[in-house]
Amino acid sequence: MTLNRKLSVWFVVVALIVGAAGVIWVQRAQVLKRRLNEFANLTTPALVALGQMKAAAIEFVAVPSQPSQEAYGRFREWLAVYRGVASDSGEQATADRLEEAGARLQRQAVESGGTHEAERAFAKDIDAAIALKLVALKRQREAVNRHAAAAVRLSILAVAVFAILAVGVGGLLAGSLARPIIRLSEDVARVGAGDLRHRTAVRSGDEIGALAQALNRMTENLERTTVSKAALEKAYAELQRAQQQLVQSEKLAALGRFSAGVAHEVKNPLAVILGGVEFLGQQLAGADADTKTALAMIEKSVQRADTIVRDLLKFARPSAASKERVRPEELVNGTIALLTYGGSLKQVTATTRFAHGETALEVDKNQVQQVLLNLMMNAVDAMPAGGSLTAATSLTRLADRPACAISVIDTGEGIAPEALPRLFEPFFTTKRDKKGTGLGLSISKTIVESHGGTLTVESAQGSGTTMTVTLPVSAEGSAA
Amino acid sequence: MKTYVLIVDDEVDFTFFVKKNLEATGQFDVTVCNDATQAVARAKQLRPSLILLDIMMPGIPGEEIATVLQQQPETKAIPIIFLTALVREEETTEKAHMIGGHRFIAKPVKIDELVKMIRKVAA
Repeated sequence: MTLNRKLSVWFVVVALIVGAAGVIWVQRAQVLKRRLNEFANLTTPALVALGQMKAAAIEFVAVPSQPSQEAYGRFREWLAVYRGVASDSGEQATADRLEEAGARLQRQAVESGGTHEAERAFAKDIDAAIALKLVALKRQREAVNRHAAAAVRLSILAVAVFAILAVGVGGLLAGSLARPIIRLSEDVARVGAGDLRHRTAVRSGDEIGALAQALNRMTENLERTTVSKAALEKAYAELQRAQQQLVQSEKLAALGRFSAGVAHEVKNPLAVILGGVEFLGQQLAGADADTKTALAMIEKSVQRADTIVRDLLKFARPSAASKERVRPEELVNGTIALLTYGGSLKQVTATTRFAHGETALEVDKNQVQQVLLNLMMNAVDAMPAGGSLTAATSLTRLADRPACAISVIDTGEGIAPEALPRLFEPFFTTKRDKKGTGLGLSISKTIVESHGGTLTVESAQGSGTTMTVTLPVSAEGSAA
Repeated sequence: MKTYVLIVDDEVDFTFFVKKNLEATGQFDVTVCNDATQAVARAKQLRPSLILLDIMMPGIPGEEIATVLQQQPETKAIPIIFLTALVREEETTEKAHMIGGHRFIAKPVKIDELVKMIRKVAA
């Protein structure tokens, strides 16, 4: 029911109650009016008539010798009047008795000139009639009073009933209007406070019901757009990450082109120097030892420069990374196998420790294996007198996403604190006297970062080094 | 009998020493061609036993020259060894030291390695 109809019904109910009360009250008022009229129209003429009758009777008996026909005529006229207004049979009987008494008095007056006895009897009858009338009058007055009191009571009752009904019906109606509005306003407050999953339970066929449905629709839309806002922020974060990776790989590509150019320009002169050294070696076949040593040193330097340029190319080449799903255990075991069969482990014992659960990485297997190989070779180099190399995987988080950490732990000499900050710088090496070019760790770091991961180091001098590669795990979770 | 080697490379200093060093072994006669555009004509004219061909040259890349040489009846039987400064992806990823069906050797190169390679190819 619409509000409009509800209000209409309420007004009809109130109007019916007021109308009914009005009808009853008007009826009662009419009865009262009639009674009052009766009182005015009947009682007063009766008393007047009785008085006139008494006056006429006194007149026609006053002069007994000459009984007045005219006075008797007046007596009879007033008797007729009295009869006309007689309200009940008692008064009619009184009228009969008065008529008889009047006639007897008149007859006696004519016959015997009147007697005091007859006069007294008549006066007694008249007084009795008056007393009777007064009693009737009293009765009538009481009846009027009763009716008036009833009318007053009825008015009070009607007002009371009306008031109670008005308050009751009005209250019910107001309640039925206000309750859903109150609930609705509570629901609106809850939604407004941010509980977008909340729906109002207000159901109604009227405008409030329509408002409740509109609120639910609005909340639903809001929830949808709010949810998509969260998704948007997530997508934006991913986009930023992807962009960073893109920038990184762009940098790498530019560096790759630059390095290729440099390599070409460096390798050709190196080739000339090497050719020249070999030529001079033949020309100076009989030269002294110092000359031969000088030539050997030049050649060694050429080889060294060549190795650096090769590593630089590896480092900078924008590799067309072919990513595949691979389990970290597979990478670790494969790398240790390379070390073992290559005879590189020497005095070092290698052990593995893998995290529970299936995890897969989406990486360029060759590149990541190159990183692990590099880290493990460094670890072996750090333990010339032997020691233990541990490769351990663990599940962790990286930039709020699930990730896998692969740690390479050695029990070697550790890294000097002053060397730590420069560890990943290109051409920084602690193995200058040996074959190191100082590019291994920076190549590794570049590869790991191009996979969206991190490469970190922890080292305490004398107690070993832990290098940790952390890579985001493949979105599908477990290895295929 | 000496092996006749044609070197095609725009690096004049490099070819100078390669020629000197190869000839010093007593096993080779060497002709140098520093102009890539003349490489095919020289090969047809000289008919060497083997060609050392640089890949990165201004004008015509070494692979293109190799393709042309293989299409010519007079030169298609001549073995080719690429010289390279190892600057391109395929130069390092190609398996078994082959580019386009030919062996390659990276600069800078020691002369005994080069001789070994020539012996292998020209045999």
